[in-house]
Amino acid sequence: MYRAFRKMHKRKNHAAEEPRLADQKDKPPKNKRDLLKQVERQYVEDLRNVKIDRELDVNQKMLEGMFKDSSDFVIRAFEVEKGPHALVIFVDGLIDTAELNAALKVLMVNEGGLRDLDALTRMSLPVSQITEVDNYADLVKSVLSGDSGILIDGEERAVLLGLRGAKGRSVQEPETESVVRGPREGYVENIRTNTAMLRRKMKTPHLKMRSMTIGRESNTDIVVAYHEGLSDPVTLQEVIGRLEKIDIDAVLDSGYLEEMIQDNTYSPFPQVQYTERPDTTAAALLEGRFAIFADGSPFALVVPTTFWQLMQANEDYYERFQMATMIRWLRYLFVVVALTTPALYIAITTYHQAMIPTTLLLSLAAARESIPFPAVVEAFIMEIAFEALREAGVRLPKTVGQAVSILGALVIGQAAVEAGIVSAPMVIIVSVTGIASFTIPRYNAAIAVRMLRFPLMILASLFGMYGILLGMMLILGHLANLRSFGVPYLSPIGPLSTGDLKDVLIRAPWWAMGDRPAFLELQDKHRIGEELHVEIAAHGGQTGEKVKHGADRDKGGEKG
Amino acid sequence: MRQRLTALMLLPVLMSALVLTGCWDRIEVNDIAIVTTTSFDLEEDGRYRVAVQVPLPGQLGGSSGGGGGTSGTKPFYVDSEKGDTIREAVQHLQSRMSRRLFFSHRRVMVIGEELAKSGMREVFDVTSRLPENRLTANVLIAKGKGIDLLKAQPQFEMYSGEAMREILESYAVFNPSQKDIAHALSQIGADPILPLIEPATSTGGEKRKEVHLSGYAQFRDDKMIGTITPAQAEGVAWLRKEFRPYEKTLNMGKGKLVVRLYQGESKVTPEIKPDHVHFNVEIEAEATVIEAVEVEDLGRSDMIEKVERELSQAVAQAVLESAELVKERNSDIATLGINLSRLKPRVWNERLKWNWHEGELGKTTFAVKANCQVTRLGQITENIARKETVTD
Repeated sequence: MYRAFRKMHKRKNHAAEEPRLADQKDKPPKNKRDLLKQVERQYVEDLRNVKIDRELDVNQKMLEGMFKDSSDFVIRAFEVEKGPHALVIFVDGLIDTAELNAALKVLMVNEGGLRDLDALTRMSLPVSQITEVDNYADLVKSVLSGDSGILIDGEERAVLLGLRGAKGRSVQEPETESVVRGPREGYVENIRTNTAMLRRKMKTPHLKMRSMTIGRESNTDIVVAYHEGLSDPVTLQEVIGRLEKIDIDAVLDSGYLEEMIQDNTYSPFPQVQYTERPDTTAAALLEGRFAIFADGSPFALVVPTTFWQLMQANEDYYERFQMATMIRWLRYLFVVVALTTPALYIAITTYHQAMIPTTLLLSLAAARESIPFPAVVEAFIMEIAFEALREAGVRLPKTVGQAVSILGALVIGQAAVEAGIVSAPMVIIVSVTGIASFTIPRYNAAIAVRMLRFPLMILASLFGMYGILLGMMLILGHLANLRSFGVPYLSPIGPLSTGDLKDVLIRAPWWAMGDRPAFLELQDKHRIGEELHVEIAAHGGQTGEKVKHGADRDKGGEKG
Repeated sequence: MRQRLTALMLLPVLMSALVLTGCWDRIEVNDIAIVTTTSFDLEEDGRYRVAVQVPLPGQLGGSSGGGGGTSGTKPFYVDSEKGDTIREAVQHLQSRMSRRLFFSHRRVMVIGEELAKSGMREVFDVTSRLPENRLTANVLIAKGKGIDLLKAQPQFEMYSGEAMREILESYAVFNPSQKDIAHALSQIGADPILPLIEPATSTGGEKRKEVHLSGYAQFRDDKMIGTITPAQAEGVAWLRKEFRPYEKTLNMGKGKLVVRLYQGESKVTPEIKPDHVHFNVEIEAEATVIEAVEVEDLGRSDMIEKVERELSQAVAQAVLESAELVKERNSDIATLGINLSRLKPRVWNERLKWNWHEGELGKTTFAVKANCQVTRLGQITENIARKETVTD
């Protein structure tokens, strides 16, 4: 059923792509002298049809016009020794000045008689990254991204020197996905640094990185990374297709992309996973998923995403599997706790008092005796206060953050109970809920749970347990209906794919993770070598041939 | 578009799920009076008196949030009212309560002696008809007025209902729930036996009204016809094939020996004789010595054997006495009829069932074979403070 759905999509995309390509070809360039005016109010991408002129003066006028009043844009004219006039353009601050100076030195001092651009690039310039462009779109875009452009009189092409040297944040430990055990490097804002980190994890030509630019004004570099031998080509087209459709002025963070490529935009559940970690990204690619990087964002998007994936942390795979399994169960339990505890409290104390053990009911009654509000109002007061506290804690500068926790703990926690405004059990419920929502490893999944708590509380106050059940069924139905790039959101549980439960119900030890997820369309399912699996399964570990164990050891094994 | 249409058509179905639920009974914990114990008495004028025991959450301590309430007052409240029916009495009671009487947490039901003697069947109608009800509630008979038990203020628990429940759970040989009694009342071949509790005053420095398990009430159908002592109840328990550890005192010559029977099993096999039913009772039990007063050295095996003989005899004797009690009062608290109906269903249904209380029960004979073993002597074999004698 879901394959048919994918095929349908495939056809749709082909149909959609063709007219777009045709679109770009018309509108040939008009009179060059008129261009300047026309160019001024255009987006960079629209300059693709404006070719670089043979005359340097025209180009210079063009650029000066374009970057009028831009103090950071440098246009410097110079002369190649014994050669033509030339221009170097760059954005101050984005380039490595020393490197550029060295390159210019070669041109201005050492080289003579080289009139040919090809010869120049091939033989003279001591720069490793050199690209030639023939239109303004590429030129301007690259220069604005940090390349240095050299235009030479009499050439219809310009040379781009990749001498980027913009100052950025250095690689640090990722803050949103910290680990006890595991790599401690996280992505930064520079897309090249990020792709390099990913490349270091996967030293294979199969790792492909398709790049594109999105954003009419921001011209943000986007990279779609995938494993060529694994990932499904149809899904790749779908990913690229969805990204290409995006027409927006700027992409300031990958979050912009997420909202525009997800399957169901009204769902509270994230259908796109984001990660700050190269290891998580690599793991996703090795399952045939796709990673989308956006320049300026330290978060890579991973698609397709399933619900269970959001319940997994990368450390699950680094720490012993028994512990990881237990932690996973704990998380599943606490997702339910985070979602339903306040609702259950309301439902049980206002509808089903008979369900509470007598002594507990009596102490509940004692605590609630002087509370002026109904349970649901009390719950709402506390839950909203807690959400506000959390929000305040996140946004405030760290130095002020302490004040928030003091206020929260003392004023809301203690004073409110002592004043008899909220009951002590309610404070416990809110705390349990809060802690439970922190156990969800993905922040965006936790957000969904936090939001859905409130409608459940309303349902509980109106219909009791029955309301909670209805609400949960609606949520479950919605989850079952959700797709992420065609993959059912609840897979491999729904639709059930038993082989994949080894990474959902439990975290199987690595030697038993023989196959990649079956619910994803993959070209190669095989992950682990057969031989070692058989050996470890048979002996309960690698008992080894060279060293002896236990009693055999005393009899004089080789290592004795 | 089509999806939207389906969704629109499903909407009435979903909405009906919200309104077809039936009860709409939202009520806050602060607005219910949690009844923990109820007593049912029969007044002299033939009307029912229903008393409820309601803990007062404000006085229960609990969290610091519970303000109000002066110290020294009881943490519970007992009130009663009369009525022609039980529900009517409850309604009268309700009309002077600011909180709704909430019966879901009633774990103990007390039936007054007078009501028990005149027939208690009616009580089980109203208590089980309402949804706010626990069939697992313990039912007990009060010696005297039921309301007196509710007014007692035991030392350990907040209110007497809890104290009675704990006592029944831990010590009572028979601790039937509402459901068990309904079973016994509805079947031929079984009569209820209920714990009998009476108010008692503690003898400590501060005089407090405690509750005291004094024995058991024996019923014929739904009418109480007499009481039996805890010792007699133990014999009944063997006949019912129910075992609960108990202690027994044996006379050993000039000394006394207390043993605790901690494990036991009985087999009751009916045998159809031409004119009556005979029951063979086989008992296997294990016991441990608790106290030995002026008893010879228990380290000797012949001494142990003697104790075992004495114990077996005493157990058998107790069973025979209880059987006599059953026959005499024509009240089958030993569930002998049930036993027959299971093991000899044909004879029971054709011949015995309808004559069971009309003579057949009275004609039954019993043979008891008890085999008790003393498996442990406790930490010592003889008194550690015993003076040394010549024979040592």
